Amino acid sequence: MRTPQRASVRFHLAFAVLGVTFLAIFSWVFLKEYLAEWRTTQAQFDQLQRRVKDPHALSLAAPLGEIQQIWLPDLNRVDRCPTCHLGIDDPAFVSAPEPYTTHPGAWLRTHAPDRFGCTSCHGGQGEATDFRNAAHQPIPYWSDPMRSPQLIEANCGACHRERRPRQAVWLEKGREVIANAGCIACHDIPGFSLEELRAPRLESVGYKVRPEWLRTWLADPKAYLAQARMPNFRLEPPEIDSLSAFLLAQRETAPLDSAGIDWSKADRDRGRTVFGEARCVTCHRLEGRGGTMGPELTTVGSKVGRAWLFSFIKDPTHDQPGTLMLRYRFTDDQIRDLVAYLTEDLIDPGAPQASSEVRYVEPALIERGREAFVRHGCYGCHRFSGMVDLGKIGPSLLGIGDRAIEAADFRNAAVVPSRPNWLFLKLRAPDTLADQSRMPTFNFSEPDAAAAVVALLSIRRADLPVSRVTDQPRPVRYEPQGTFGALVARYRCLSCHQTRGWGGELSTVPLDRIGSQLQHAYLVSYLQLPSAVRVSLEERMPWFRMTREEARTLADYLAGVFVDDSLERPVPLDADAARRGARLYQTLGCRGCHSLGGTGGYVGPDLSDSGRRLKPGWIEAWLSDPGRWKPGTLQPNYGLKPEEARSLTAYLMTLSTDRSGSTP
Amino acid sequence: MNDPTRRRFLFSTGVTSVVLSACGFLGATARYLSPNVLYEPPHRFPIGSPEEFPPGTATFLPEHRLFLFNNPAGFYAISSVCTHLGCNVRHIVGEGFACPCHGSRFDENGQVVHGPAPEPLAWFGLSLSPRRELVVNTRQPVQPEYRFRV
Ligand code: FES
Repeated sequence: MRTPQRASVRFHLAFAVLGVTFLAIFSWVFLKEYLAEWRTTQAQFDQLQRRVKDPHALSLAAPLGEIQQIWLPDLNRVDRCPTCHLGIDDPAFVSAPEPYTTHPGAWLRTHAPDRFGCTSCHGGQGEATDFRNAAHQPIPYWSDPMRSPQLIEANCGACHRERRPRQAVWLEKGREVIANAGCIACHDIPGFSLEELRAPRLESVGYKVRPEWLRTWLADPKAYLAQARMPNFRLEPPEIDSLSAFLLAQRETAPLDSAGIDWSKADRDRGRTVFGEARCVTCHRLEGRGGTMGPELTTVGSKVGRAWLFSFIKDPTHDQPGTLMLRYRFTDDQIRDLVAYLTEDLIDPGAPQASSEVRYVEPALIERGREAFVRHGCYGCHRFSGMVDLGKIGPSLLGIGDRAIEAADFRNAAVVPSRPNWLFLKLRAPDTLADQSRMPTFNFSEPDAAAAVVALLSIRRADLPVSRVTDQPRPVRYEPQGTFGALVARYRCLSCHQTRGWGGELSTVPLDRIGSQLQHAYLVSYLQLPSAVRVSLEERMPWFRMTREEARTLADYLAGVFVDDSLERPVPLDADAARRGARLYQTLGCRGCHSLGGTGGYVGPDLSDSGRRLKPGWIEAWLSDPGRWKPGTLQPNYGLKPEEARSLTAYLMTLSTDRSGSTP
Repeated sequence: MNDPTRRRFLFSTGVTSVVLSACGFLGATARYLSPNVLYEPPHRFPIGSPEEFPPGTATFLPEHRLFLFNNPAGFYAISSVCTHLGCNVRHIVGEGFACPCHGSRFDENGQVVHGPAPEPLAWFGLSLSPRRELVVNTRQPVQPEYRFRV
């Protein structure tokens, strides 16, 4: 009888254990639901708001006891963050602790939470209702954790596609870094175009550079020039041999003939004067001073050959059709002197000497060089005839902001395997991530690389509805035709000046309404011999040495076409008004920034000659509202009454330097 | 402890737990029918600052399907969803609302005048957000006397 009894006890025991287990499981389910983190958080908020707010305003506060969510079907987002972040929209909670505190800044006014949600800007897992799963910190299996303050602008960039988004400095800087580094040469990047790329064509480079220089340059461009745009391709010596052999064999267009030049007559000092007068430093850097649009010239003599340089200055477009360099109207003698100065005075004494021995170059070496040229994607930047349709060497960066990153992508175990870290390393030291990486080393500074990471993270895969995206219109290429067009092309006006959003950014003067701003006679004389209006600027208009005819053609066209009718109105100028204007000039303190006859400030343009330089309609419009014409200008808006603006205009129109004759 | 006592104890423990679990299971199933939150437009939403609705006007907000009125006595919101088959009703000043679909008519307070509509139009409660925006709560039905003063 004992055995069945035992069995029955065992059966009862199993029954009891099972029952208790069931009960435990269900209790756990109930506790999980009713002791959920967000309920506790809301209960604490309730106590807080009773302390912080006056009792009448309580009814306005967020409703408690339920999950709050923002549902944005078009962005595919469900954000339940407001379940706990209950005070974000209420200024009464500025000093409350997280998660109740008011959202800083005016961001919620421009990005209302019910339209933009939270995770669109901040990242994280919006569906979650507890701290950990919301991915406030990185968690496994959620690839989009909340953005740290350093990276949050990446999320601004997902919608704000303009090159220079407002109030997102890192994003703006990052996009600039990407544009300047020429990443577009090897990668397709949404928002960037090949037109921005600037690198010389190499079909005739065999005539241009000195062989010794080429080897140094290929080994490490930054060794020759710290600001070099070209990255270091980490070439092995045999590759340098073959590449330079290939490049030196490129002799498609011979330089313009300089056989008749008597180099013994060259005068380097005169050359230096020509260099200064032509204001080459506006674009070229020399011993640390000058512009950066063109190549640095400190040691140009060790880089290029004399005959090529002569030809290039004579006609830059001869072998570089797309160059930004203008074509001066120099005489052959002036070019000779200039070239002598450049090639003999501006040299690097430490540069390797030219070896005089003539070596036989095997065709196989040249062929290997061509292969290396293609393998490293050199044709991406240096457009090369015959290599136009090879395609980009690197992968497209569309969706790089969503790229899956795994620990295996890192060879260095000390780095946290996250997407930003991977991008940062890829930019700073591509060879530390993979042995075979063909990506060259750019030597980005840490802040530059960090900014570029922000810009790259903003390039997401999922495309947003058009209504969510802001972008600026892409400027349309402006290529005037006819005589005017030929002059604009010759003197490369649009390398520095902008019109209709097209052109360079060196000049602060857009040409769109220049004909309504400047007097015709002044334009003619200025184009022939530009005199500095802002003496404090290094980057001034070059002296083109253009003819009077050319200057007149340009000025006629500018005065007829580049105008703004609203500025072309008569301003009554009488002596009385001018006297009042002179007093106003003193009381407003204009001389703090502008100089008159050699005294005054240097921040603004010199006004000594404004009566012969400017048109009255423009002065009046400018003084009335400078910010309207030039956003961000230093010129203060004094809120002048129309009558005061007119008096000042009358006064400025009386100013003129006492030079005899208006033409140089 | 002898075996019958032990058996009885274990049996009652088991039965109690199973009964409690079964109740829990039923409770959980019932709870499951009313989820905490759904993928749906929010029932509380801001519609703009009170100044955007000048006194004496009725504004139709198509994306929220409601009319906002600003009367001397205060603000009030009436749903534009016809209680018949859900068309948007039209507001006719001085007359009330008319449904274009099957001709239901409602008076200025949304009460049915005639037509297939079985019920008056819904009225929604209003409040003011800390940023001074009018907030509509579609889960807070109110009576036609309701007026919200800012
Ligand atoms: S839906 Fe309005 S009357 Fe039928």
